[in-house]
Amino acid sequence: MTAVADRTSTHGTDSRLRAFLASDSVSAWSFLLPFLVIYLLFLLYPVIQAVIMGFYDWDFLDISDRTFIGLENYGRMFWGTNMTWDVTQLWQWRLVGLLGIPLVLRAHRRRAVSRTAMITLVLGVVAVFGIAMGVHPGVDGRWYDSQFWGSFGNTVLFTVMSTPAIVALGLGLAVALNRPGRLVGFLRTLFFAPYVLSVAVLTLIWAFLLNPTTGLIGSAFETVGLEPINWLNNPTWAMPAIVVTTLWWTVGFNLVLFLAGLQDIDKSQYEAADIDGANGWEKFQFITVPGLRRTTLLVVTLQIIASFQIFGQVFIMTRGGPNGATRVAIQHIYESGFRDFELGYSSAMSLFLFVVMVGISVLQFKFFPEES
Amino acid sequence: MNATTNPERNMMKRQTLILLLVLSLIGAACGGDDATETTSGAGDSSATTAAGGGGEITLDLARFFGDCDEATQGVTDVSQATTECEVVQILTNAFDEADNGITINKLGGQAWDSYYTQLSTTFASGNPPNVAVMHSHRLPDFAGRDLLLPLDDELSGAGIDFSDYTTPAQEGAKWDGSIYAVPWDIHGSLWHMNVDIFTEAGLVDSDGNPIIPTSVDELIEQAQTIQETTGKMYFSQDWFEFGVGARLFLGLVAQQGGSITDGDGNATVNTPEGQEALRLMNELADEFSDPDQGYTDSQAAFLNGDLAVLHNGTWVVDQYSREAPFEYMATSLPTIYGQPGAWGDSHMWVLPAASNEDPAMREASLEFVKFLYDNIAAWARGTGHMANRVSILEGGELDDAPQRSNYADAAEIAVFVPAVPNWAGAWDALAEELNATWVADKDQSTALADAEARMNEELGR
Repeated sequence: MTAVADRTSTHGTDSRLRAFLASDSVSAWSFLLPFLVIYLLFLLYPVIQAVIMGFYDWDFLDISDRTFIGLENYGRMFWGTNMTWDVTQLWQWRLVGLLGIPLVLRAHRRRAVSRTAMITLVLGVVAVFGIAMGVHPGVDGRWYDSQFWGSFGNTVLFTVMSTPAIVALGLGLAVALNRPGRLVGFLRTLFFAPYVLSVAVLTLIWAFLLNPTTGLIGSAFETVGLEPINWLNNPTWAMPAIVVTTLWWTVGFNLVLFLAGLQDIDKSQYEAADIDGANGWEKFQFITVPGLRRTTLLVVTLQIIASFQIFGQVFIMTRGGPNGATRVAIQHIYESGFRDFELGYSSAMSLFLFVVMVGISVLQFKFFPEES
Repeated sequence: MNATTNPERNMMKRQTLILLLVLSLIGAACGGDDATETTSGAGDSSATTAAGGGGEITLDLARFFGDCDEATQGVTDVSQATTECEVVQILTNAFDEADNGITINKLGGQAWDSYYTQLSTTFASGNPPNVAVMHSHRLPDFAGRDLLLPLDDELSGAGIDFSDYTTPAQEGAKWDGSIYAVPWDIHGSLWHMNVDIFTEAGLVDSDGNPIIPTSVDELIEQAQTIQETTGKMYFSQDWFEFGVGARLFLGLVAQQGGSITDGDGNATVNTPEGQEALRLMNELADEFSDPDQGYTDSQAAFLNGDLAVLHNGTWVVDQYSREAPFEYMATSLPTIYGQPGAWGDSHMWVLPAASNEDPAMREASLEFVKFLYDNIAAWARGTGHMANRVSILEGGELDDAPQRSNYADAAEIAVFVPAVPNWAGAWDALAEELNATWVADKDQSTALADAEARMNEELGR
């Protein structure tokens, strides 16, 4: 009896174990766990750690030297001496920002956002663009961190300049190359190829190309009788030069995403349009663009996040110059942390940048045109 | 049949997959251990053998000067070196191959401008190297945090005579009254000249050497003469890349008896001396130079024979002596104001405290540094840097090296950047504001006021 009972018991345990191993949740966790462990350890934990560090005076070189200072790092970022408020301060940027209010109201009318969200957003826009951006140091006043807002502004400028250009060019190339053929395949590879380069190689190539005396672009200028411009040492042209460099580097990735999106659009829609006598532009406008809505949202979101993280090209090509014209937020964060050893302060700045990026991404998902 | 076998098969597949996943995880974990053992093994073995007091000790060495392992592999004769990197690497090879029971493990070989990020990371991770090279202006950041071993009681035992160093070298190695470094050189600004252009302009003395200006007026007059008679540009430097403008500024301020910091470590660049220095630099930029030239461009213009004077450092003397297709001469920065003065700095060797707690390890580190100290003349000869030991300078050991007699006083007139914490950020701020005057036409008074405010912001961190 005992032997039989043992066998039954063993058999029961075996079947329970089998059933357990065969369950969906075990399979799911088995696949998820490796990623989850890495994600928690290398992404979530550092983010939480950075949030905590933002409240400390945390020395990079001497990890035992840390003091809790509450919101002091944030005060240093956002405040200064003899602060005042002026309606004309940064009025162009603020005006552009305030134009967000009609967009919010329009979205509410279309029922894309709830009443509560609409009120919150309008109040947010007024608070940021109407009030906060009017605050600045008055006579003899000074920001506690004189470089923070300038470098953040340059990051925003880079994002504003690069995102539409890179997205539009990626889309244009994808539409042009969305057809069979060997040459097209070759061109696709050609446009994607720069994306595999490291930032060091990229900057080496472009620093050479942009060199006014030895570079290809300088020679082209001379050929047509123009004075070559020292792009990277000119406060007006340095940022556009960085944008063009980045465009050449990353447009291939957007091209691939758009190509994938294009291949998802049902070809019968184009055939129907042909029967209806639609021309190329009409087909692009009424079939391609709506058909790529989700892809475009993805590309724009990824592009904005990537643009906000601009660092390598700038740091190697201009080091933030000339006259701070290309000094970006991540460079300031990097220098504060690694050159000046202020890890707490650089964490606080990183967190601010993170919040801005999350905010913009959420707004994009909220306001991106719904399917019509 | 299928209805009964498929679920079983699926279950088997699932179990197999799970098993594979578990195995791969275990494998990865084991692989990770292996990797850890491999990488930390080299470092740990040194500590172990050192603690045991016998066997081979491995010292981790952090330095910049670049990588030249391939060119110097197996070479131990330092006379074959032609660059900074080759000198230091060949000396390392020679020490490595000597029968001293010590092996050197070089960590990286970064460019100087990215080196400190890497070095700081080793300190932050609690695993600093045993020996590291450091500029004197960086010493306060590390010594001020007690991260470096004080060497006051160690040097004489190791056979290093600190009193043999020149005064600027000694001062550069100290922080808060204690010695924290073994200086290896003094390097600084030099006036590199194309003698052919000076000859063509008739600006040479009876020996055929270029006439060195002794006042601002003479400098401007010389610049005008050269540009008018030869059509060549008079002056250039790296105007915007690596802060070379700030070096010249420091030298010109010092020549007027000024200083860019006060005794309390506050920046004082917005002074009459600072304004005059910046005025002259802008006059040079506007009338006698091309402020669009960076380090590479200005050097190329000089070596192509298109430039009469290049302001650059000691580290290029041997290279220019070899490569210049014209008669080349290097001198100290001309004294055009009241007193001599030129930017200077020092490469020094430091011993991080955390990695030299073990007496055997400390002894080995000091033995290596003593070897480098013994080879200061070889370093100076192979690079163009100035030797910093009185016995070498007075012994005439370097008299036959190219150009050295022309700038023999450079070690004496060198003005080091102030030894204060957070200097790197302050220096960057100064360089950026100065550059803005010739690159972006920023008002000079505003630039100096902004520079001073930004520098104090950095120094007050």
